[in-house]
Amino acid sequence: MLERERRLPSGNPTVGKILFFEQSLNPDSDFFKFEDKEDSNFNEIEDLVQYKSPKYFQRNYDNLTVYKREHPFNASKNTIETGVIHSSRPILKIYDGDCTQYYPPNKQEHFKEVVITKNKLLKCSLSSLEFEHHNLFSMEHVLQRKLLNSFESYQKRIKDEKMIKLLEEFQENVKSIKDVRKLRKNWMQESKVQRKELKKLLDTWKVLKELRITQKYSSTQVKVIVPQENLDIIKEMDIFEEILVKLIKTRTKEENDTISERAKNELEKYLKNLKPKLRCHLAKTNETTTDVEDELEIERRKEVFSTKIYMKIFCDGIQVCRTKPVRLTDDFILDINELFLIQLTTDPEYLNLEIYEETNRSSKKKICNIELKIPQSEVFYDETEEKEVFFSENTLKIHKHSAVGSGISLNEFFKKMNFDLIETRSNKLYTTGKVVFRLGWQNLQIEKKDLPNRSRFDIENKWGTVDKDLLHRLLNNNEEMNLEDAWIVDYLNLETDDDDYFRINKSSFSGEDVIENNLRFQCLKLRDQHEIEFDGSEISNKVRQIPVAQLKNFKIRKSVKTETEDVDEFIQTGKRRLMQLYTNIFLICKGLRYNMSYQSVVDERWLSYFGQVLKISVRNFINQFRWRPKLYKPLPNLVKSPFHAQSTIETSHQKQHKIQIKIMNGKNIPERKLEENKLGVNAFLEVSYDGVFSQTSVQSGPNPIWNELVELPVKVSEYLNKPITLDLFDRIQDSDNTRNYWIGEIKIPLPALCTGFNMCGLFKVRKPEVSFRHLLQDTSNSKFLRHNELTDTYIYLELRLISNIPSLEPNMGELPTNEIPQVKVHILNWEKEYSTSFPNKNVYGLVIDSIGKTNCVTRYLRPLEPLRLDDEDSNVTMEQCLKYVSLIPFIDCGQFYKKIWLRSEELLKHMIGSITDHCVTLVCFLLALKINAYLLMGYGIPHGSTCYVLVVEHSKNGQQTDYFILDVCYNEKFKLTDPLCPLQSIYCIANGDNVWGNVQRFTNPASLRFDVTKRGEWWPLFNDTVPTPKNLLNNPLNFIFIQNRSEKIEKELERMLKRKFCKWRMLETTSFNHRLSDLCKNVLKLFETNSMHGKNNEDALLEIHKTTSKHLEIGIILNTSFESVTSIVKKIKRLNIHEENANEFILSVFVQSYPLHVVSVWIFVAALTET
Amino acid sequence: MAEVHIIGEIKEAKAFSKQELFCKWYLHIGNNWRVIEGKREGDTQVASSPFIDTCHWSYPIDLHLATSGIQGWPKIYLEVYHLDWLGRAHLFGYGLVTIPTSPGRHTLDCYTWRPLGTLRDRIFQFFLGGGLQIKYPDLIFSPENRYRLSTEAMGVVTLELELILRNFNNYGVEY
Repeated sequence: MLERERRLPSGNPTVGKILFFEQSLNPDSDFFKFEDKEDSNFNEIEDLVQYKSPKYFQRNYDNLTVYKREHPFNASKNTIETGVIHSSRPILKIYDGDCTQYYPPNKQEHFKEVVITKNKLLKCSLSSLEFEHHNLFSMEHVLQRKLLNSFESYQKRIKDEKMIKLLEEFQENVKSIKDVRKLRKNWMQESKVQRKELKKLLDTWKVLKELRITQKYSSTQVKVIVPQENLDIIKEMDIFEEILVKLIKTRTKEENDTISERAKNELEKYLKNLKPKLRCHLAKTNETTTDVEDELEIERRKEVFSTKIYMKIFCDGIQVCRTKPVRLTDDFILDINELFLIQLTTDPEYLNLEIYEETNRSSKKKICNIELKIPQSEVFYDETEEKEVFFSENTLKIHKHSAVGSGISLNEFFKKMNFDLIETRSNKLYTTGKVVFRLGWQNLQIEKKDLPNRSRFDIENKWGTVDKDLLHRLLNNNEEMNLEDAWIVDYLNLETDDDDYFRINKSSFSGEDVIENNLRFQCLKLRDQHEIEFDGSEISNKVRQIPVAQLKNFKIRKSVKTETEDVDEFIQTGKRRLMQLYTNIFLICKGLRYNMSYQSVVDERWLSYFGQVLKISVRNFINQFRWRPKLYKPLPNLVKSPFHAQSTIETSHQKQHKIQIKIMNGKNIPERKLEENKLGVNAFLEVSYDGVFSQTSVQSGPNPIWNELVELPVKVSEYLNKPITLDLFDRIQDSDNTRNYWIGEIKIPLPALCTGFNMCGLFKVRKPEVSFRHLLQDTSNSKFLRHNELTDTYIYLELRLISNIPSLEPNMGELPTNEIPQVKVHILNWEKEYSTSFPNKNVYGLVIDSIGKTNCVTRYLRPLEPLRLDDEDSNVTMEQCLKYVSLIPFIDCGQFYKKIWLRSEELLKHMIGSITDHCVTLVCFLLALKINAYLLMGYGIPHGSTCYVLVVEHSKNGQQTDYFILDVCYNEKFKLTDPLCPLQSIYCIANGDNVWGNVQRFTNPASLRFDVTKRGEWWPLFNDTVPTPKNLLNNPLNFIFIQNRSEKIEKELERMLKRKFCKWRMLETTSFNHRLSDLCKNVLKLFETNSMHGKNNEDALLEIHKTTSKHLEIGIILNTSFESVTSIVKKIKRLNIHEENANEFILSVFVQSYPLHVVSVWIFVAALTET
Repeated sequence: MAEVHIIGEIKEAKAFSKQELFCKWYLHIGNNWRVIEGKREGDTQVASSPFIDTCHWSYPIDLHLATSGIQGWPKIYLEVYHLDWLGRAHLFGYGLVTIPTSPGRHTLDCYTWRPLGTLRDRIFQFFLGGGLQIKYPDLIFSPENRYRLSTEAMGVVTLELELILRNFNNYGVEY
């Protein structure tokens, strides 16, 4: 808050001095922060309220219409600025009305989306898949499988403990010897079977071992380990004895002794032959060899690893889910480990599980189809155990590599391999295996138990709402509940009627960053801030339809703005932005209908020839009957040159698009001293367009006549916005070498020729400010002054563009507009009416602004306070404004963009624009200076149909009025009656109040009358019935004035120029005279101030003459606006001073910066000779 | 992120003891609200009428807000000032009105008040103008105990607002 003292109006004796508060209404400032809050607990009423004297509000009346009105109470002294009428004190009334009025909104549909369903969820987990045989099994695998099988059955036998059972049975009911015999028989039989099993196992193992040895690799892991055991005979005997004792204790002692004696002997005999009982177990410790040499085996392994297996679950013929494909491994056991939740809508009996195999070589192949029985509804998943289901397939498959394949009988296989193994059952090798799975119903009761521990996302849908019924059910079964979830119960207790959902997270819908990062919101915010990229553009409601490029461009621009403070960069970015803007508008216009002008669609030019052809043919016909003298001697036939035909083809080929320039004569070409007391010049012109050069012959004398025709081709594929450059050179022919001195140039923008007219007239040659060459060796003062008397140089040219390029005209009627429809229609009608009566005159009433909307011309022309160029100067003159505007760079743009006008603020923001934009800005400046200025649309040299500024000045006595034309491009001021004025015809003039079209017979400016009130001479666009649309708001410009930037440019330019200069003089050494350069720099400063204040440059010239005196051979002072360093370097190169044979050079650069990056560059380049 | 469009006007001031009133307004929103488009604060012109005792401002409000939560629903805070013949502004009232939460057209009446001082203060006020003002305007937003503060009723400011809500359905807010 700003606080400063201000004296009150003197008429108020009571208050005297009053503190003045300026209420800042800047949105950035904190509106409601008054003082620092120290203590929030107020104890006294004084803490809360504070007496404040009434405030004076600084009110910004600039934009409002303000009437000065004397106050009735204090009529004599106080005047107060208000726009309202005062009234007497009102009576206090108590207002009795409703607080708010309520309009019920429409009821919307309920949101029903729920993620979790409550019943009929089948849970199915597939844990593993094991192959018992697969067609990719190697022999080893087959044997391993056999080994495993036999081991399994053997193990089973042992586990059954049949022998022990037999023994126990026997012990319980031993009655007779018969039982003993029976036991013995059974015992022997059982042990025989066991031994057989074991033998089979060991046989297989033997074969497997042998196989591993013979094939020198192993691909299986299974190994049979047989531990060695020693038999303790004595111990065994003791055991036997005990048994014997037990057995025979019923007998008498004597008998006992004899039997035991006999038995002992028998036993000893038996035990000596006895071998220990064989025990074996399997282990997966055999190391598989990874590096195999056998190619067949490598191939097999490759195929194994490339094979993928996946499963699909079908329910009622519909695929419900599928597992991920799992790679086959060498042990043919697959880990699947997947859990599926299947919601059933019907009651099928089975789930179908299909196993698929997919290899690299062959496409997918169904191995088998398994039916999984769906359990009863009471069987819950968590109570079920893992089950196995076997599958088999019976297709024949034989592999070329070491894999066994399928469909072969096992016995045949063994025979083939010479294994001494016999399979009792005659089964064949088919792909078989088993799947381990669990299947059961989802148990909701268990789910309920988890609820408190689960995150809220599990019961929320994506919008954060929850099915209330579901929650109810879950909660009813849930006794243990966290305190945190207590509010859920609270909510459920509230018996709401039909709302079946509610929000769990009450505080926020989404994170705040979601808002910040939302593309649409970002674009909307930027549009609200009136950024160029978004201003006035439509932003779609759907984020997907918003182009990201727009934001990207904006970001690039912003980053450029912050990074570079260089003027060079600034202007480049301005140019880029403007071109982008032009393209955008072009694209808008291109999309409209009827955007071609009549002339470009229908070619009527041949119609004029038609009449001529008719005339000639009629005359020729009549000539037939005329008397003619007879030819006695026939003339010899002309010999056609062989090149002729060829050249015509070429020209006709190029005829389509070319520029024809007829160079007639020159005027006042500056002379130089040739010999003693003799002046002269050998001038020639060099014409160039887009890298194509052409030269005229050299003509001598100050007023040479060339009378030559130059043709230049035009590439239509390019933008037609490049300028045609004509450089005037002076050729000096010495005995040994020729040198060309640059005198000046003419630049003609190509779009100026596109209108179809022939442009002809005296073109002014743009010469450097001062050129010392032409006063060579002439040191006398009188001669020196003669230089200033030299008038401008002109060359008479005729230009024509031969092409049939259709031109696009923006269809103003269809573009969106800022005007009221009635006004728009009126303007368009006026334009149409005017152009039908004056078809050659282009008049604009409506123009397109930077957003692509049409505006009336008058809206652009409103007073704009010019920037103060100098700190010293308080008053800005017209010339200074002109100079300032002319220093803003110009853009080369096509004919199409003539109708796109930038507002003055936009021009100053972009720092680049077309000639029209410059004129508009200049008119705005001049209107603020209370100068009677008009924007003039007409046809001039060399810009074609373009804009100028017309200034009306009344002489002091009021008798005479002078009309001046200001050319913003070249910083020139002409009197309208001047015969050398570049303006050739005037179409219309406009200021902020109205637009007047020229309806006089002549368009020549010299013969026009400028009384705009006369309806017969100037036809106004707006009259009493249709008021002029005006812009009400006008903000004064306040931009920063940066001084030090000029030094930076100065340094950079000087460094660059010196470096280039040395580079151009490759063969010779180059040295710069620094002392003189510094001195000259001060002189250049003088030049700049002189030009700004409209003074003569004589004193500055004298200064230069003094400093450089007799050394100077050639020197040129240039003054340009600053577009880029490279463009200035190009200009210096053209001067050809670097070709001079001189000892030393002067190169000094002076840069004067004006507000808003506008820069005036002065360069002095000179060559010094020895004296 | 739901969106709210507030479109309407600060229409008039009724039942104030004097004419020549103007009003400063400010949109108070919570932390999870963002102003996407439009001005958040402003002040009206000074209005008076010789014929009726209402001051018509017809000051436009056009705001586009985005929110990530219900809390901190927008409120409009008003300060009504009187501009006297010396060009001084006197506080004539504070007011706070909550933007309705249902879409549609609403006519809101904001009843304003201002602090009432001691007799001495009132005498000062009568002869010199000015008056008591609240030191910390956030008191107006906060639901603290205000019983120590004695106030007098001033006039009524009428607002006509139209509300458009967007995407609230997605977050389970029903209306």
